[in-house]
Amino acid sequence: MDSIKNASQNLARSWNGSIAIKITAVTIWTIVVLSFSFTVPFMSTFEESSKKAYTWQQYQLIEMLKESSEEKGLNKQQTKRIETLVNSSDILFVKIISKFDNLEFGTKSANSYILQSNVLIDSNKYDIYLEFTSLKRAALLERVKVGSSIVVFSVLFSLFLFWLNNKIIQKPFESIIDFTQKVSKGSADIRLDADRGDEFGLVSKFLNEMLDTINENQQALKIANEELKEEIYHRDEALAASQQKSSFLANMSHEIRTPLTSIIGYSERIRFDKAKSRDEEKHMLDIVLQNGNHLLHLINDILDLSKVEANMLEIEKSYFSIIKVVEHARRLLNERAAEKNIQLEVNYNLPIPENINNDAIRTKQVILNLASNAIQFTEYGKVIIDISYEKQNDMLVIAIKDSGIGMSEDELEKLFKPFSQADVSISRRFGGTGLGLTISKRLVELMHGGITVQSVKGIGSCFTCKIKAGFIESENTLITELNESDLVAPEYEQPVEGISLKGRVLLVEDTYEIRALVKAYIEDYGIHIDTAENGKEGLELALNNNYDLVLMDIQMPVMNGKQAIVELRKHNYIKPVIALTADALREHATEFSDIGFTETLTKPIIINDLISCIQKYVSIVNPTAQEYNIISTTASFEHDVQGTVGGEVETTATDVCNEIGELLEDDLLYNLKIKYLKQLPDYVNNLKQSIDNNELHKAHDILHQLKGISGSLGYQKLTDIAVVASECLNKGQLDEVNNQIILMETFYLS
Amino acid sequence: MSERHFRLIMGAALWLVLISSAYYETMYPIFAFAGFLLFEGITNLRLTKIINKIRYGKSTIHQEESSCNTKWLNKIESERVLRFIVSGLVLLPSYVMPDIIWFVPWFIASMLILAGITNICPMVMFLKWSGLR
Repeated sequence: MDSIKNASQNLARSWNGSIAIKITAVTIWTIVVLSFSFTVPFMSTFEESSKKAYTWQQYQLIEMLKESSEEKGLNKQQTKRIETLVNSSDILFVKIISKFDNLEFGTKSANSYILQSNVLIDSNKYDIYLEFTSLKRAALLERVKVGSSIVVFSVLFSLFLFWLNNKIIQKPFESIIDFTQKVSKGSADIRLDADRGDEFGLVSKFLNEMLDTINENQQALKIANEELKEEIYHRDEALAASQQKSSFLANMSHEIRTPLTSIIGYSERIRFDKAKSRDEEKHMLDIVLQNGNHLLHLINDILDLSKVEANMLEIEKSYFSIIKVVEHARRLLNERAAEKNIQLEVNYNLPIPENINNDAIRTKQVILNLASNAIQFTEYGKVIIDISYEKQNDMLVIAIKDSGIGMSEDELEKLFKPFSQADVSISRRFGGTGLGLTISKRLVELMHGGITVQSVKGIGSCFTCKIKAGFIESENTLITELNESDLVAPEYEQPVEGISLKGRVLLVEDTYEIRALVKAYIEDYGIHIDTAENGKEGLELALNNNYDLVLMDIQMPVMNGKQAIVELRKHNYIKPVIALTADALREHATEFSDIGFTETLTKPIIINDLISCIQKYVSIVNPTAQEYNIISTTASFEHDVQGTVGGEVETTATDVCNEIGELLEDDLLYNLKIKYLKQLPDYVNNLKQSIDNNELHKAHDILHQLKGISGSLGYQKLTDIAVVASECLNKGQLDEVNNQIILMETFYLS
Repeated sequence: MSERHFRLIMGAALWLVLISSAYYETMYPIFAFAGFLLFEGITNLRLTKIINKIRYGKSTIHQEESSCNTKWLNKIESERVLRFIVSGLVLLPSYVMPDIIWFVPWFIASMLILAGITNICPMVMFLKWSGLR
């Protein structure tokens, strides 16, 4: 409004005034000009006619005087005098008052004024009243009337017009001006009232639509801008990740090539008989083996890292003894610590749960990663592994302290990022890939825990990781006292030496080198092995021969391992089939199990793992084998023990047991039996599950084991039950198998 | 007091002057009115300026300075010229063709009043367009 007012006040200088005022002014000017244009000629005409009428009235007065003067008693002289008076001025009415009479001549007029005069006529005193009607005055008064009327009318009309224009034109314009002013200042929500039916209504409507369109475009622009920003951010992130990966690849290249150099180099030297002695050759082979294992460890780390990035890392929960896991890790780390002359200590802050419900393998991996790092970055002093339990949070706390090089605050920040170590120069000085901590952190998080680190540069570091213990008081106990015997790790990976196995194994593998290697491995243990180059050949051999075990590769020409196993099971082949695969992903192991494989072994094939797996399905010939290896299936039991179902057994299980018992010390046999009885419920439960899930080949394997072990340990009744169940299973009589399972349960419950 | 207000007052005053002149059949009011305007025009001691000076201490009537324009026309104010024109037009019918152009003062009066109401004075606009200040 101020701008409008200011503009109006400057109209004297320019034409940029309010539209309403302009319209009012122009209209009124027109009206005034037209009014005067019409009234002035009219006034002229009016005055002309007035003058004529006035002249006529004068004439009539004079005639009246002439005619009536004698009657009225006026003589000619008096009449002449009055006539002169009338002619000399604008007199239309004469009234003579004498003492004798009142004489009136002429026409009274409204616009007249009276001139009184005493006229002495013939010595008689006459009062003469002369009414003058001034034409000039009349005209003037008429003009005043007209002029005033026009002025008043024009003023009033202009005010009315001004008001009307203000209402019809000015106010809508002001609302539009106000609207545009607010929009220009950023208000996007206001709208004009578009209900008017005139041009302003249309303008308001279109302005509203225009604003809506502008708002939509602005929103779209904003969204596009944000998307662009996001894309730029992602691009920058991708670039950064790409750069990181490039540096990682460069680092990896070094890490992979270094052991490969040793492997290739020393292998070449051995190949070309460059070793000076047998000892030197053995030393070279040790180096080749060591670097090969290091390479395998590196590749496993890379695979784990890819799972971390793809959020595919998973854990498998089960109850395990934390003490056994820690002791196993300690045994693996002792050698490395001894090499660097570092003391490795393990402290158990009791009480701690006897068993932890979490992933044993991953827990050991984390402990090994953290402790390996501690040993790696410690040049002297000690590395301490502290185990404790927080009952209130149900968290197992594993703290690994070292007196190593330590880290600064900045170095701590990038500690858990993949492909980075605290200091680039560290990787050159101490080695390592910078993956272990990233993987460990993710694993601990999956185990519902976390890792924290405190470190002082030059003094040492303390990595504390907490994982969920899953302690349930009714099902678990807290260890309050530890003996020396408790701190013995199971001999999972002791080399399998001094045993002989007996059986027939089929190896289906397309790669000649692996066929030759595995054949050499297995034949060393006394097993007869046949080979096939592809799945189709393997399928024919398996169906036409009686093998105790089939080892099958997955990736093969003609027919791959998956197709072969499906075909085998279609032909009701119930013998164990082990998958040999380079695929290390856990979900593929589940897939192999689902399609019919009994177990999965990942390449590269570790001799201990292979023999441990095979001996479950073949006969162990050497009775001096260690405890764990004796508890195995004895597929060859059926070969050694001549018999069928129903008691035509020439050599009973008791006989076999006695034979074994003669070879073993009594205590050892007793322990074996006790251990087997403890494990028997698990066997039976697994058997029941397999039947329920219709995994018949698994059920067959379990029954096979039960037969062998029961027979070896002298449990004849159990052996018979297992034999009957096996025959019923082969015939598809599942109800009968369930009955035999009930008998088994009755056996161990009694 | 702005020129707008002065025009309004001038128009109303002229109207009253014309009525009184006609009623009393005397020219003196017209002469006085015209004389007042002539005085303002000649001396430039305009009522508006005097009042504003008394009220605000300085002249608030905006005068467009045209420092670049050195024409003599641009040095004359249009308001002063307006006063000359108005006084001349008011006096003219008294001496020249009174029966024909008697309406001119009335026309001037109505236009002055309208100029006061609308703040649009065609005469001043014309004068400014002609080059006056």
